[in-house]
Amino acid sequence: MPELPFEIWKERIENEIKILKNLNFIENDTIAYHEKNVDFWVNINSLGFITKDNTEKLSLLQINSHRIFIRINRSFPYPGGIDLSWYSNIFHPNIHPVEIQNSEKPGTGYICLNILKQWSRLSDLESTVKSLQKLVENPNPDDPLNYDICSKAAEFFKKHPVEEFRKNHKNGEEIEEENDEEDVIIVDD
Amino acid sequence: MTTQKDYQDIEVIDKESIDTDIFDRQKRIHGWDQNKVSNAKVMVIGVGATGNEVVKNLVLSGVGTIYIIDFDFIEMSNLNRCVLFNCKAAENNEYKVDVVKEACKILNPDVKIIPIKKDLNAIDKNLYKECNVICSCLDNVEARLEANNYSYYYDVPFIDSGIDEYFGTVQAVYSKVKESACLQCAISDKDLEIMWNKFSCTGQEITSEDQETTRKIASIITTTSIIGGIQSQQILKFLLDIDYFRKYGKWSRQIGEPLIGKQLLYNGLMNRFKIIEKLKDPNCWTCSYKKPIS
Repeated sequence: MPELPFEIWKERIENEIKILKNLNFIENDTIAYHEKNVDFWVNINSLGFITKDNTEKLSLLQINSHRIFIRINRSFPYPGGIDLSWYSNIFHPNIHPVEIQNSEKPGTGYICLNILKQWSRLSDLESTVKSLQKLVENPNPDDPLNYDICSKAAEFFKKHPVEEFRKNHKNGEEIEEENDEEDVIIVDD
Repeated sequence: MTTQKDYQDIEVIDKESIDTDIFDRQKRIHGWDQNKVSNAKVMVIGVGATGNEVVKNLVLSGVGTIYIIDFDFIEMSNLNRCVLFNCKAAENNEYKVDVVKEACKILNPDVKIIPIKKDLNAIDKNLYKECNVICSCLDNVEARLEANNYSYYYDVPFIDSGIDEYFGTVQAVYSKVKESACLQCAISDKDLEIMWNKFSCTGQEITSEDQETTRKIASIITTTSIIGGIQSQQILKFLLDIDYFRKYGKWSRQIGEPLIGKQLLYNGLMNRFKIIEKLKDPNCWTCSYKKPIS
């Protein structure tokens, strides 16, 4: 990807970070300016799901707070200028979080975000962070990432579309998936 | 119609050096100053088909120092359109820049060629400031834009070219000409999408061999030499006339105006040249930046 001269790049990022700060997305005192990139942590609030521990059945809990690491590299504002890494645990077909429950190996943090794929000249940090918020609320099970946890989430959200699912379960309530016929194992003697 | 004064100008040239001075014939051009050309530093990014033509033209005109940047090796399939390459180098898969340097030594030993075997984004950015003119003979949008961005920022004239079969374009960018467009001004969302399609959804570069990410374009030497010729002409215009422009704010009558903010389109099928004015984007990432006054 091409890059802009350092001064132009820096001025643009400072302006965009100012907007994010005003919207209270950025965690306090986490912005670090480096020669080749700018790092910071972002907190977003929107309703997502996590899986509950130590149950054989798939049961979900609603959560409202998410933590994401953002690194802006020298390619910004060209496509590929923003590296996102999802840290906090989440059960989502398009997000592979770093902290996965019941897993010793950390996840990759990858996020499959449409706005990054279809980067336009008007795209910026603000629209990216806001679209992350929307992504949590509207998982896209038709295009999951290729990881176990993500395909599991895709399968789940295909069976239970999110809007319907939210209507039937109040906020904070524990959600358990009903037993499927597949889960019943008949052993022949 | 030539005037009396024109004849007088030609008579000024030393008669003894008519056959011995390499640059005698070009010195006869009005407004030509060989010192300006001989002291100039020009950067040529990419020495493929067009790059070969440009370097050849600059070397023969006696440009003092030429930086050539290319990290690629010579292939057999380059030889149909590259005047400075040879079969032996292609067999040994040598660096393009090394072979061009050797070939230029034979053409004109006085010219200093500095080869740089690096990707464009790995070079020292101060090199842009050192050069009088930067010209790109590249095959991809990314590197063009990067050269455009840095040249614009450092106020160095930049000339871009592109070829495809019988078609070609040349466009010059110079920040000191007000209201003139740069390459970034014309970049659309579609261009950004094409650039980004080389990468996967999570931002890792697609590197597998069977997924050919760059299209090989058809090209022949007739088109490249026409476009390379026009491009070298623009370089010489900048070298000879930039002092005049800085002083008076316009281009001199003898040398003429370069194609700044305009794009020349060559159509080899219809034998046509067309010049279109490029629109400046007021929100352009590169040229809308205002430098702080120090």
